[in-house]
Amino acid sequence: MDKKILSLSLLLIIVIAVTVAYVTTNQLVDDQQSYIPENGDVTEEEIFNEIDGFFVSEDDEVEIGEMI
Amino acid sequence: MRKILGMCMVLVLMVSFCSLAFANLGVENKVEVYELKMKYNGLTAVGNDTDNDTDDPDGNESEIDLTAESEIEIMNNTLGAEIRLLQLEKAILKNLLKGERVIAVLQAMGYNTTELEGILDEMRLLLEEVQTANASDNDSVQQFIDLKSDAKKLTTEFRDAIRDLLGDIKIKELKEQLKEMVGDELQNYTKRIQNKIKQFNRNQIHKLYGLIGVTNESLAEAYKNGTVSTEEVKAQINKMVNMMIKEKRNQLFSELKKENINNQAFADEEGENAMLNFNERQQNRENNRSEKANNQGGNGKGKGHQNGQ
Repeated sequence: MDKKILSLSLLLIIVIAVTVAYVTTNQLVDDQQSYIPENGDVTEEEIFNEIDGFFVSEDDEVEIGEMI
Repeated sequence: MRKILGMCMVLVLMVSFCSLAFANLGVENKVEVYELKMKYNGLTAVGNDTDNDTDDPDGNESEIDLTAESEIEIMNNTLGAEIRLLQLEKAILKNLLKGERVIAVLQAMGYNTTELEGILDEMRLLLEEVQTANASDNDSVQQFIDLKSDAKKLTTEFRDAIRDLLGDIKIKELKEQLKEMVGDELQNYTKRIQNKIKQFNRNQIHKLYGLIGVTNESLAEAYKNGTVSTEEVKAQINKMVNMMIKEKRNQLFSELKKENINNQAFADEEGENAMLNFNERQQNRENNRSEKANNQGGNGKGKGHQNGQ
């Protein structure tokens, strides 16, 4: 009886450990890859757009409209 | 022994609930980020259509919402705020100089320019306010949005007043006369703004280098010396990124995206904060300027004026 309970408890602990590990890992991956497309391929254009958004154009101006 | 078993079962249930709660939290975070992205995409789609001359004289709130958010993304650091305030200063000065030229031409033609002069007086006071705005203040974004909104409003008032005075055909002729107007003062502003933007972009290059893991400073140096343009820098960095392995590239993409979304979230939040009591603040500013203009013996906008001959 003791052995049965012990092995059952052990089994439960393993299941819990696997579940916790899965959830934690899955969440870490989510944090890192939440912006990556489902197929896992980020295109050159997508990266360039992000890099582009990092910089300000030297000709950039604040527009308030024309006087005439 | 049964007690132990019972405790184990309780433990299992607790851990399972915790796991589920964590998983749910992850999903909620993703939904929040997705909603933010969607919201921002909607804003930029309209926000790109800046200054389409549909200024609403009664309420500027929707206008601020759409035009300023894309500009305030870089204002989450002092240098970015300095750039935007300086650009606003230049835009106001440019319109002020143009307005003065217009008035001179109209006066030579014998028109009554009292109303136009009143608007320019207020614009001069607005310019002083922009010049004294501090980029490192906590409310620098709000100041920028408020002052830019005033600048747009005054510009529209000036344009409408000229339209009432001259009519479309004469305005076209006047526009041709004033087409090429680049004063030394404006050139000076352009140079100052470009230097600040260069400094900002140099900081961004270093930030990107940090994310990519590059230690070579040659590109940043070349950009600093002016031998490489911003576009070339972007292309070079893009080339570096494309040579990275897929996993590292994806990781970098995520980090870049996260950074850009954080900036968008900042702009979104600051934009929304600026909406609060906007009309009240605008009214106060206008009253203060009218008072100042009266004390200085200016025309003061809204004082009696006659249109044209």
